[in-house]
Amino acid sequence: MSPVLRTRRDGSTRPARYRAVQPLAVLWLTLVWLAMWGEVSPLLVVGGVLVAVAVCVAFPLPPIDIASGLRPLALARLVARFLVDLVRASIQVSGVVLRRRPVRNAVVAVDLESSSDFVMTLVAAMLSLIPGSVVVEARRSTHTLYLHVLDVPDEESAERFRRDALDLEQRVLRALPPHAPEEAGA
Amino acid sequence: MSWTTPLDVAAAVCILLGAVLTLIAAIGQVRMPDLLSRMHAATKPQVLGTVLIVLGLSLRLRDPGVVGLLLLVVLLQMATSVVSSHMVARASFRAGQVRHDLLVVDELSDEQLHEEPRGAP
Amino acid sequence: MNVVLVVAAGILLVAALLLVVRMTLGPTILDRSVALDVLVAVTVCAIALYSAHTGATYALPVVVVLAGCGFVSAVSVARYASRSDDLQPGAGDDDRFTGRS
Repeated sequence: MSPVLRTRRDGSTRPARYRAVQPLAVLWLTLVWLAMWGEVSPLLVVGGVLVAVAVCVAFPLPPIDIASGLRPLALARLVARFLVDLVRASIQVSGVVLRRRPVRNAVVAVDLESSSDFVMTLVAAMLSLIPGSVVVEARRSTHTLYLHVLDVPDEESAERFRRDALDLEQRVLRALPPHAPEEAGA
Repeated sequence: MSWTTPLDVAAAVCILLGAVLTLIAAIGQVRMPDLLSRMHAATKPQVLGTVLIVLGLSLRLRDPGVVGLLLLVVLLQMATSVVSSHMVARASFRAGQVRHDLLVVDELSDEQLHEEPRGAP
Repeated sequence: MNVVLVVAAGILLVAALLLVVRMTLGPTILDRSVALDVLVAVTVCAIALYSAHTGATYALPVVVVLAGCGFVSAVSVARYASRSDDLQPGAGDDDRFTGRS
């Protein structure tokens, strides 16, 4: 992997630098550490924070800016709807597996509205987890996801699936509104 | 080891449902005609099945430390099954392993000519 | 509870056997890696059953590790298999359930 280059004001380039130690990542890694130990004590918390910082320094990752405007209510709705979809679609796929009729599939292109990579990743992950669809190809330049959908008898239901996927994206956007202005400039 | 509490009953139901879902995933593995539809059968009921069994286990053990660990299992399972299913699906589609006769709509093959460089996300 | 656990274990056993069938049949390496992926999930469930049976929690870190690393095999196979010759769909593709013959 080649480092991303940034241009300095005088025109020369330098490798992009980001703050390696991000508070959210440290918090998450510390929680994982505590979950592994299965108990909470001051010594464990301190040790967990130390390990988390060491991991962040050793394997730096670009930051995700989601903290900009998290909307708890919309997020709760997103998660609840996701769980419902997970269960409903699992039952559907089980039905498809068990019945005797031959199955017809489709490869559907979904053009996402948002141009943020983070939203695209999130939508792709959720669509993959919801049964009946697998992301076959993701095109970053046009923000298009190509999904293989199970059990599509005709074109109309392919169209319905596309609408469902776009609805999911709308819910993600409502829960985690991206900050629009700096994306165009960057 | 007895049916003392409603929690135990709930745990038993969760474990049974999870096992059945895993079995359905396995049946799908054997029955489905091509790799991509097999992957639907594989990754999906299996995720819910694991979640249910793990839920049943945590209802049974009722130990906060264990619940944290099991939550971690579920999160890891969800995060990793996405990655692996996408990688396998992409490799399979690029290798032309898709049964085109089973597809009703195929919007990818039409523009497959536009290839992004290898290793692009 | 014990009856339920035994029944669930039996179901998992059948599932594992079916997966071994698919691994043996699987026309390409990708089919086998997907089947292996599911087999790892079955193992996770089996360990959870064992833990529910005995109440012992020492096996649970194994579950975490399996859930975290189970996908490595599938990803690496998918990454490197795209150049192998094993990817052509062979005559072994079964037509039984597609309505064609």
